[in-house]
Amino acid sequence: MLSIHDLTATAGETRILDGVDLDVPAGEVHVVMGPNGAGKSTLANVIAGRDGYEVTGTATLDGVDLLGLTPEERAVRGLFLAFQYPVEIPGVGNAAFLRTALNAHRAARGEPEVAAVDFLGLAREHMARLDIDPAFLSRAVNEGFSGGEKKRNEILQMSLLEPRLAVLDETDSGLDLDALRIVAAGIERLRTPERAMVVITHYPRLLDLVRPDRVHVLAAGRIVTSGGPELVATIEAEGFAPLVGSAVG
Amino acid sequence: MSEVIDELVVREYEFGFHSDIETERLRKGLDEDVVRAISARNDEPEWLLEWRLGALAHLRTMEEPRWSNVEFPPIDYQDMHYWAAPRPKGPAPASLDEVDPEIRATFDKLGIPLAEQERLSGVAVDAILDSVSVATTFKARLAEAGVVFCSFSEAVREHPDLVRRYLGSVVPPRDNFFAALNSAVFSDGSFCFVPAGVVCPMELSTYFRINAENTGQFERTLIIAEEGAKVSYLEGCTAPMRDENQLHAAVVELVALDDASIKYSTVQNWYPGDAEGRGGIYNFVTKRGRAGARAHISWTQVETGSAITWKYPSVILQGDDSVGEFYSVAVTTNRQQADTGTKMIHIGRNTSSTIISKGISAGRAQNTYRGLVKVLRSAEGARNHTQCDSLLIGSECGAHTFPYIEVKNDGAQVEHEASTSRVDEDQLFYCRQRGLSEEDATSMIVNGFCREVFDELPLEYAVEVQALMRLSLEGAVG
Amino acid sequence: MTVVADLLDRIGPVAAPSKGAAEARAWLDRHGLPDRRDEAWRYTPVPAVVEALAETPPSDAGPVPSGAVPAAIAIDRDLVDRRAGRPDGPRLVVVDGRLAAPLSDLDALPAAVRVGPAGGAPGAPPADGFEALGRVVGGGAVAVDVGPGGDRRLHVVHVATGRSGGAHPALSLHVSAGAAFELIETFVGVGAAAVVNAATRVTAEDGATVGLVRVVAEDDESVHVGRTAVALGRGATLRGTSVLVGGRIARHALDVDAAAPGSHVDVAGLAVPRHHDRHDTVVTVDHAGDDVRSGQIFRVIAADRGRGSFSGHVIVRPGTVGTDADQSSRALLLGPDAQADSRPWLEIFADDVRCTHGATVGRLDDDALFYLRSRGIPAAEARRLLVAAFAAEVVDRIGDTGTREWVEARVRARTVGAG
Repeated sequence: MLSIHDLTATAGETRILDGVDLDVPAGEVHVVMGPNGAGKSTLANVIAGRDGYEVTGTATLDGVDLLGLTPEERAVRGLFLAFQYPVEIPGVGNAAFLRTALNAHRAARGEPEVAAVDFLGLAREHMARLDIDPAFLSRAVNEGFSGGEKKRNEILQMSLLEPRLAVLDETDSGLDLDALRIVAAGIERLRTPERAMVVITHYPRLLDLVRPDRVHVLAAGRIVTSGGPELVATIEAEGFAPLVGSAVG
Repeated sequence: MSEVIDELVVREYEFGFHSDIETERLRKGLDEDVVRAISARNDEPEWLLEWRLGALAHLRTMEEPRWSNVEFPPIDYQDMHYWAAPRPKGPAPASLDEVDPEIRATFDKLGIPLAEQERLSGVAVDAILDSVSVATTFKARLAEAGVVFCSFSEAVREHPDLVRRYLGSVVPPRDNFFAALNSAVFSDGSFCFVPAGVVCPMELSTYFRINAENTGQFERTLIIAEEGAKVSYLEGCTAPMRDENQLHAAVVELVALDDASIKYSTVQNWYPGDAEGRGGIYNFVTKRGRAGARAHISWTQVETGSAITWKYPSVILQGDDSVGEFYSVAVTTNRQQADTGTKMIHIGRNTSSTIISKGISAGRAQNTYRGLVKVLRSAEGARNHTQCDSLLIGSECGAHTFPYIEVKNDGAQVEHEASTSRVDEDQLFYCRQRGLSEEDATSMIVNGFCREVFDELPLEYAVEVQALMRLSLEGAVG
Repeated sequence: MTVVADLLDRIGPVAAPSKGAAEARAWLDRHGLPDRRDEAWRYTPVPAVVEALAETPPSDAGPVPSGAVPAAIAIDRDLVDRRAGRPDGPRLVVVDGRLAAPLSDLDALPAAVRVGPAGGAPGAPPADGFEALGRVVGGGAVAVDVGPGGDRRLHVVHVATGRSGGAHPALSLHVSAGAAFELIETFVGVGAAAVVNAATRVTAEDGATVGLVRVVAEDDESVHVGRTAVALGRGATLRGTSVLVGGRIARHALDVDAAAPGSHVDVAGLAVPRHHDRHDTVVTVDHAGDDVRSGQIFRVIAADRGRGSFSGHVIVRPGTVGTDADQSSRALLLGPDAQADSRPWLEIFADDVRCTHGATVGRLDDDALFYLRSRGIPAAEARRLLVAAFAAEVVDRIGDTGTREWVEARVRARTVGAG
């Protein structure tokens, strides 16, 4: 489903991604791990179309070239990025924001808009399932949210927008165990044969709750090792150094 | 983003049509004879004529203020008409149904139907075309509650004592150049009186429309809320698209006696001029309220129109425990210039004021917030909180913040915060990642930026205003 | 113009005629002294300044030769030490606008620092009518030129004796590319009412780092109007700290011209008016270059009937990018008759900016006072601690220990018993 080939990204003079190859088939959950500064967040940003990088290589979603599309075009084609640092947007109600986003997706699929009332019902259903406080809807987008609340809001959005491919950028960082469980439950709930996920994480902790199909180690802008879930145990035992050493050296 | 900004110049003004209404005008120029003629047309008592002439005499000793952050060519005060009105077709209409169909059509087109049954129930309208009031709705229903809502000229005839007692009591004729000008030549306007203890049963509104060419509009609004009375009032304004600049110099006086509450909202959408800055209204307005003990005066304004806006709706917090508020959204695009803000003058003990100002500047516009918070020695326990934020859309516009804080009482607490930036890139990217187009995302962020002010508008207008905002920034952002 | 002519008639040009003086005179004839319509002078009582200049006791001393000291008051090193504190490092003493060589450490200047007369050549246009006036009547301007190198400091102590026509000290500082230098200017009197009209002009070349500490500690009945104009080169850094702790009228105008890209402006100030003092600080930071960062931190502590004013003006010019500007203004009123004014202004003509300002006015925080007292600290001591903490944000920036402790003592003396 997601196919990345020889992807590079340069910001200013610095090459951050240096030829990433990654294939994620439908129905699979892949984990990308790696030390600080490996380029994990840049990978997520480049896939989602953030400005500020010089990009070469290819990245396709269901065969469609992503790199030529605007961020919103990528989004309505089914790409969802759960942000490492979800942005606060003062004055914009969460409900209005989510409904506008949902309707943008529906419009792209040629579906009619969801009326406000129907949307509220739908949102409440998702929130109940994810054990999220209904008061979320009446607050401004992420404004004054705690770190954990922001991450839950990301999961709620993912749940509502039902993406083809979800990229979760360190969604687990800074969470207490309860919040981590909600995030993991959200991921597990969305794990379907039609959908793929890329979970970027720094900590193996999340992987106690979400069992990945494949694990990749990103270091110095490249995937240096890939393997099954057992790779997590190796990393936990030995750290990144033995895996990374060969790539960097 | 830049190609989006480039489209800014395409902004269209929706209300730029001109109605073919036969108009009667006084000759151009400003002198005693013109003032006498205006007074005579309104059938005014001698004292009011003297009041006007006094203002004119004082005006001649004054200079047009040039301290504000706006630029415009010299105004030739002798080269405009000071009074214009639709020529009556027969005797004055006895009921709303008899109002000239062309005038009704004009207001229908503006979305202000003058027939009561078509109007949002619960909103009474005084419609003012050029220099005169053409219709006031729901007068009978208001009268039942003891509320007087009528044109200013009618108030002079029907309630001379009230007018005489309060006219100029908040904005004296000598207050400033434009107030003096208005005092000399004001033609009509709205008058509202809410007696002690009465809560006005519906929203009141005045709709101002300039139609005639080469004509200034000088209306006067006087709102009196007696002890414990409560009223909410909204004004709206539009004008045709013309290449010339037209002057609008209004005065609004609010009198809130002890325990009274006046909420005054403005949606100002005068013709702003074209993309090159040709034409548009010069909007030089003096608005001020005086608050008695425990009284509450709240100004909310959404300013999207006019080539130049110069206005500082203010509150004199005279009574102990009185409250003043100013909520403002000012949007400037193309070549518009706005210099607007407020003055909060704390005199009474434990008075408090809140100022929330949101400026949005796009195109080649200049948008200035100018505000004074003054705490006098007597205002023990005074409180002020000011939040002034500016948003820049495009690299050729300007956003300026000129607060003045003067505190003469050590028991006062004054806080001022301000920020200026462009639309946040992270917010834009976040919205776009959720599938919103850049325009929709920007529009949503800008609306969110103004949220605190929109929340203060009467419910009936909140939706309308968001649509207006969207229209104002169309092409600029979405 | 009659005010100017009349004033010049009274105080008379004392400087030798020069091209600079002639140009200043022409400027003054065109622009005059500041008046009521001059927004920048809103909070300084200009008529009182003019009156003080005109009324300084007549003297028949005539023009003062460069470097000489009026005979009437014996100013020696001890007196300067007592008045201005004994700083760490070499010192120049300027008496009534003229360098007093015998009191100065001219032979102990830091490496690559040259001190000499500025000459009468025309300089940058005057910032205001008083600076022009100073050029007409002043003379004896001091020039400090700083060559390459770092970590050097020079103190300039300005002593005003209250001589007729006021003192009009002018100092120009040039810091060469990449150099680092700190100038500490202090202004003191000798017990007589004086009028001081001081102008400092600073040029920092590319990559230079300039520290400016300016302490106005004039006597109670004195009047001080001063200004500092700073022009920053590419990537230059200014760290300025300005303190007003003396004078019945004390004004400092700081103009920073950040026209070159990448410069960094970090300025702060404190004013402590008491009695009936009027203290006014006016700051303009002009962001005309790209990627300029600026921060302003200004504090007022007003005691008795003192009135302290701060006007901070951030300008961002069209076409600039990468601007970052913060401004913080806080005023503390110690007593029912104290007053404060604040005008934190932003004037922005470019969109790639992030500008903020915050201003507060109020008295000492009751909760903080109570907290300290609940820990057994007596009320007066608690107040003193809180006032000192409020001042510390600015005063702690003064790196020279001697100067800092001297300023702390003055702040304490001016606020003791108030609040």
